[in-house]
Amino acid sequence: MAGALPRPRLGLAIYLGLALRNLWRNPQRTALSLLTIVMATAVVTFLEAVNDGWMTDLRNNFIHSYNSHLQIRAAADQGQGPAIIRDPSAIERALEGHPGVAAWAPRLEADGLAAVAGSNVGVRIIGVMPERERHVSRLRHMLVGGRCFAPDAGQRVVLGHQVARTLGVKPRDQVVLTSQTPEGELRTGLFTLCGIIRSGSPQIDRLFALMPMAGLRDWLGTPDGITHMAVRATGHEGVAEVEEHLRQALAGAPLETLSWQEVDPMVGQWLRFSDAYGLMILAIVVALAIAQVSNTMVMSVYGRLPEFGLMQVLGTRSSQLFAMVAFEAMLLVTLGGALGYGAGAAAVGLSAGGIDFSALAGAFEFFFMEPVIHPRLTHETAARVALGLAVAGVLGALYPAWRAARLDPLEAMK
Amino acid sequence: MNTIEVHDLHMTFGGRETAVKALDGVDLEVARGSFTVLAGRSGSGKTTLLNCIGALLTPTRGDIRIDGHDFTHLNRDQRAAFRLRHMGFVFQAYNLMEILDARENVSYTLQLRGEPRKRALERADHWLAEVGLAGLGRRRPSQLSGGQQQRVAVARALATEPAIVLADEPTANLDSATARALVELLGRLNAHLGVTILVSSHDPEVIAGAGRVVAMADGRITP
Repeated sequence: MAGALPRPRLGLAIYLGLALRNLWRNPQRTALSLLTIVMATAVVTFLEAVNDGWMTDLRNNFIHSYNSHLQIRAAADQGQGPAIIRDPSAIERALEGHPGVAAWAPRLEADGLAAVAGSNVGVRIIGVMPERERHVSRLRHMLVGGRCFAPDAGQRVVLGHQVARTLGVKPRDQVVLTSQTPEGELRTGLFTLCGIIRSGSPQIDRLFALMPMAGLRDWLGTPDGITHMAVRATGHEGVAEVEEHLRQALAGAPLETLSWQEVDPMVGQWLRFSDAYGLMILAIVVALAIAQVSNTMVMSVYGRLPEFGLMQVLGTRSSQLFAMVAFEAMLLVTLGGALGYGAGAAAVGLSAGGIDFSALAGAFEFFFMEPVIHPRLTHETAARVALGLAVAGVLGALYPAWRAARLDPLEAMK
Repeated sequence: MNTIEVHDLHMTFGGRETAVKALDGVDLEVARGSFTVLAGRSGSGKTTLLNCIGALLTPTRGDIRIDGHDFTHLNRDQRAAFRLRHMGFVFQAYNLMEILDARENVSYTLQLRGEPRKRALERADHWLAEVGLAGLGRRRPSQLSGGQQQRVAVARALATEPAIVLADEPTANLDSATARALVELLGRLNAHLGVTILVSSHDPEVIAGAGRVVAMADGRITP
């Protein structure tokens, strides 16, 4: 007989109507709950946007200052000096014509020592081709003193500003550089300081000594040799595809393709930590929202026991009562979430000019970040906040909805 | 033809030490289309019997059939569906939903049965007119008198055109004139619509207006 019974059903309109009227039944309680959810959502939206803003700065600065999206390096050390790729033509063939590759530039790196009378400092001597380098890094935009060298400038060098300061040199001064050939032979040369760069990143400012590729090759005796090829992709999103293409194209060659996260694992870890931090903040807000929604809905359900009992007597199924309470909770969270997201987005808009953390500039530079953070609202942030609130709505409604659905109708109506 | 058949019904509340026998072997048959009153003092078991017949309590022992259907083995949701299909309810305290106006209260069970909202509201207007409340459909329960609220409850009970309407002390909160009017209304609807009405009451107005009176005492039907 039970199978022949029609399933009691209710349309969405009646759920929505009941939910709205029940929320309106106690406007003060609803307003308080909404305010909590609005504030929590606004705060998490803004914090996520700040987090996204500085992580975007960090990634962009790390990639575009010098490291680029990908680096193709010799697979292993070939002695005491730098690992050298003697013939980069295979790499260039692999890069040519790939739609995901925007530009590439060869580099020759060697560790060494820069010295002037009475002072010396460890440096990374980097040979670059200026006309190629400008397509993969912002080094030329970092010039703060003197000027850049021409490709055939000979014994010219550009130093990081901290290196120059430590040595106490200025453009046109002479600097002695000492390094090692790939075969382990020491070389010393006198170079003229033609320019000083300032990146904001200590890795560059305290270490870099740039010179024309041809000059460094001559000095180290490595004609055509490079230590790595810096590759810039057309966008961050296409890096993995280019990386895979290069790994396949260069398979068998004694080369390794490193993504920007692998070039400096700390940056990748910092980004992952930042993501985890964002999730942690979101989790705290979700927990607060769960507590608030649950509290509101429990009070609401206990204030309406006779009504829920009556609904059961009249033929409302347990699942429908559950859905009514859950719907009400979701409506509360949706309203609060939408208003809160709007408030958070407005705060992001008001901060479009950036939030100045110059007082902490040192710490920021260490992580390739600008001291002025530009909060950035992304679709991912919106999706994360929406998902978090949906979880809060569902979990916050569980107990009160279950309670409403399991009431004994006669007891409830007393 | 009987709409309600109750056989050897027992209902005991509490545990072994504190057991209270509310029903003690009740046998009852209610004919289709009749207006029957269960009369008796407080504690006689009439409300318990009404709740058992209304699928709101599961008896300790015995059989209940509504239109030949036994519902005692049904689960919670199946009972809800059974009540929706076969029964209408009127309570002592009116029990209307305050957030809904009169026509929405009446239309609620119609919408539960799958009627589109517009049609359900039109039918609610019809039933409100039937109980003498034409034009008052937009009022919230708090904007209606006790007698009017109980009439809305009657309209709600009748809206789904159930086999039986169960009314538990429907006049207990009403003054005598209003109570008399409500009894007249129930009698008229019973005669006009042929709906089976079973009322528990000790109100002389109700007892006087009923077609049949079943007296109860100490959980039993008395001669």
